[in-house]
Amino acid sequence: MVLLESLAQGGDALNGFVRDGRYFVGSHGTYTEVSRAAWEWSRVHAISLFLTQPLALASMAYLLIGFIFPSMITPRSAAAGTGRVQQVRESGPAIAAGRTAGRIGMLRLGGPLIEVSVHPAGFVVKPIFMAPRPSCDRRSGSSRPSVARFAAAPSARSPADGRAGWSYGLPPHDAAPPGIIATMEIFGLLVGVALVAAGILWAIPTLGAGGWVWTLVIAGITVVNVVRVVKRR
Amino acid sequence: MNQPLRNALPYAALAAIVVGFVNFGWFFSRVWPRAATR
Repeated sequence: MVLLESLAQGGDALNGFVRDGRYFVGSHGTYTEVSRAAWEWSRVHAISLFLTQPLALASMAYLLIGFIFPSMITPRSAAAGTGRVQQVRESGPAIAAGRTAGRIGMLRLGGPLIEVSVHPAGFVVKPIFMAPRPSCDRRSGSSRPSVARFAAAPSARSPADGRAGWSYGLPPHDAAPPGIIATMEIFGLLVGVALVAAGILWAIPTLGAGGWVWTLVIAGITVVNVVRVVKRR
Repeated sequence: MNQPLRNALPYAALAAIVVGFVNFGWFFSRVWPRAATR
């Protein structure tokens, strides 16, 4: 808290201004005079956010689409998918194709985020932004295939619609590199703990009842996450 | 992209997320506490 207070200068340089050699930082219409060094640093720091925030968001999207979602589709590691996709596609032109909603392994996607095509030798299911998945090759004899369920009607919008539709087995596919999911889980828990601490140290003293509500909601989410991670390990 | 670089990419992405969060928290710890109590 002492550190936060000493760092706090009541605004940032991008919302502030310089007048007659005096430096002001601003926040929501209130301005505070600071030293030139503090003002320049605040400016650099504020500009750096425009780089680090989009980068962090893009990284989250990349990890979700590249590793987390695929690991929800098939949790076990094996490189079996791509050759089989080609085999199914080359068995003949698509008899039917469409976009729909459904569940692939543990991943639920709304319509029209799943693209399904039916070929003589099987199905190919392509979740948006991700690699296509073939239907399970019975001869390869994978013991516990993951299952895709998708609605028969291409107009289906919700994953729940998939319950009434088609269902088929998926072979195992590439899993996330070691440590990535564990590190993300730990980081997520740390962020949760940090938010609860911020709630107790800052939100409750300054916001009162609103702070209590905020902190309790965050604490609830964090507890649920901790229980989930502990159960999975 | 060569293989070692490909393998490093998810870890770099993880680092970028941590840097993004820390930078955001650091920045707003300077701006908010005084502004909020005013």
